[in-house]
Amino acid sequence: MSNPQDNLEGPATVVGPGEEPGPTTDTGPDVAVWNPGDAARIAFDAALVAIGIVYLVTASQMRFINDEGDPGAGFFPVVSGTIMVVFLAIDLVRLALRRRTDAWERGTGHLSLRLVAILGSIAMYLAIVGLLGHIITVMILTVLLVVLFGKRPWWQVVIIALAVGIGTDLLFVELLGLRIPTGLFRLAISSWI
Amino acid sequence: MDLISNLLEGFAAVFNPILLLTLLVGVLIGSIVGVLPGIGPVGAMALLLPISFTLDPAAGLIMTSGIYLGAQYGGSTSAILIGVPGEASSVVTTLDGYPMAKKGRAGAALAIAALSSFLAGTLAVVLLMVVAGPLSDFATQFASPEYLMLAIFALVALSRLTGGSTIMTFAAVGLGLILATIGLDATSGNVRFTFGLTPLLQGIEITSVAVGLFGISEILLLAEGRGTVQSMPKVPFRSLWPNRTELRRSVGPAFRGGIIGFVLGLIPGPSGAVSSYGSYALEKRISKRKDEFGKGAVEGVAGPEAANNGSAGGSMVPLLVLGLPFNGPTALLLAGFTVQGIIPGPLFMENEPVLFWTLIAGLYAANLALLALNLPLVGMFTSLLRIPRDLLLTFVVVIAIIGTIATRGQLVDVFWLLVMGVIGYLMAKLGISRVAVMLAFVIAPILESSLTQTVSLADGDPLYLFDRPISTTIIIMTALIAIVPVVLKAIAKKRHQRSVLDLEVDAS
Repeated sequence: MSNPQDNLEGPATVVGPGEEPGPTTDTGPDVAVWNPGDAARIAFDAALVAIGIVYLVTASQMRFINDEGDPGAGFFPVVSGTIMVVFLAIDLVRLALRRRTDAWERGTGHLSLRLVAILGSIAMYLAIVGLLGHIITVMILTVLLVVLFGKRPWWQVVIIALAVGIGTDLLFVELLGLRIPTGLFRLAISSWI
Repeated sequence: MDLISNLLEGFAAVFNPILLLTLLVGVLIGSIVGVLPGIGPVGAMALLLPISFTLDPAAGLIMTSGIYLGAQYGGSTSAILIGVPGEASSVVTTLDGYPMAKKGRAGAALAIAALSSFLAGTLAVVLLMVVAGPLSDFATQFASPEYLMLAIFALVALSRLTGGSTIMTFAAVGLGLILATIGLDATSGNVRFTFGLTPLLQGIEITSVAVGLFGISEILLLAEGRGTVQSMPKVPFRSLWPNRTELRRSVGPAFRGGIIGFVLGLIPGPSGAVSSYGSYALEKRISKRKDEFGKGAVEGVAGPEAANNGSAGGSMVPLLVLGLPFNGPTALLLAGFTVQGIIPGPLFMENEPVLFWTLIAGLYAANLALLALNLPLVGMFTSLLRIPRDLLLTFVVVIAIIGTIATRGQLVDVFWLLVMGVIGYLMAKLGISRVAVMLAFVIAPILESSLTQTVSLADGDPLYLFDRPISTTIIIMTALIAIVPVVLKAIAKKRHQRSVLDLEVDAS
């Protein structure tokens, strides 16, 4: 399925339209790229419609117009939710009508498990960073991601994880003073020292 | 005379070590990100936005602007050397830049891209200085009905210019708006859509939305694909100078491209990509050497690269003068302004003259820095393309998480990062505009306040908006931008059908 947006607004991840592509080599793991068809589009639209309906029901419980006769807290949400649901509904009808025609696009490939694993790694960070703190959690995250994205001997993975964990802590926490969870582990060490 | 003295004051403010350092860091990071396919200017700006919050307003905004300009420029390096555009607005540069490199003129192509970008950047800063004052004076006549119509105009224009389905762009706008309503409503003081969950009280942070939509989703897209760069032409420093003919042929296209870029930058939508396409089409049309286009025409590099940079300057006008962002990068700049407690708009020049002129001088200094740094460091930038893919992707994910969590130190932001990453990935796969979500999310507070005030002011009069000349003009512009493309498409379709019929008649 073509993606017209990619050429106009997003970063360009495609080979340029020159006479021939740039000199690349296949070194990454073999992954079947997922091209969602119209069925996936219907699922996406339907999920958002469901969210939109829940949103609209909640918005309708807020005051649409307040005592002074001016728009209340529910006014803008009702407008916003209606915009989303109405346009999604139009798209769903359009897709439903297309189903019986030749224009219906079938999906190819499948969603890579690697993508699910990447998302799972970020969820893992979210789950344990409060307890273990940034340094240890980011080391675990780095190990997971490096293993997911490529193939390296274990000792390299360990060195990279140590470098990323300690390096990002030094740069972002110590140097730039950003607020990153220290975790109970580090708190325990600090109180012990 | 006032303009020049104000600009000189701006330069005096920029030339202090901290601002210069943040400017150089911004330009360098932007160039690096621009060279690397995948992250893009919006993702890079979003990732580094939290760091800019720790700086003072001028330094933070100059760094973010530097990233924007650097990424716009950096994209052309990989486009020319290996035919892989680093970001969307450099796609057109590959058409002639890469063939020039194959002919052994890589250095000249890079120099032409840099010089054209610099020329357009200079032109854009001058035009910005000239138009900002009068436009600000004019914009003081704007009240909530005009802002409401301008915001609607921006969203309608965006739906027309991003390509893809208009219907789904509006659905994406709706999604951006509903995300923005979660949390404490600043106008009424009511808590909305938190479902009793305390972490949702403060709403969703722009960093989570931007980094999720443009950072995490791009990582997921990149993780699906394959291929790393194996080799690329070496560009010795001595070769970085075009010959006299190439220089002569670049001046006109660069000048025209700069103007096209600046003008299109004033219009909502992905102005960088649209203006580079526009400039290329114009140069091809007016050139005496049409046959050279696509085979290494100098004009095909100079025009689009200038247009790309000019649009960055142009897009600053609506942001600074009206306080409304018309594209992704300026939406992030507005987020930067808001966090720093600064409100851009008609009174920005009057209320914050030092910051305004420092920002203008900073933009010009960023253009100078790009020219001074990028050509000598071209070898370093291209060697970045050889960074092992696993390390690059891992590092980007880690930075995305840190950047998101650091904004306000709340873990719920990582949750939203994850959610927006999944949504962004699916939207990119399904060809739905991600910029629409972000733009709607950023302008939602302006849209909500202007909508509620306009409804109150109208007091039930359905024609209230038409009583005001400026809002009527914007309504007409909105209607035109919504209807004209449909009419043109219908005419083109009819012509096509007629020509097919004629052919069938001739054949029979």
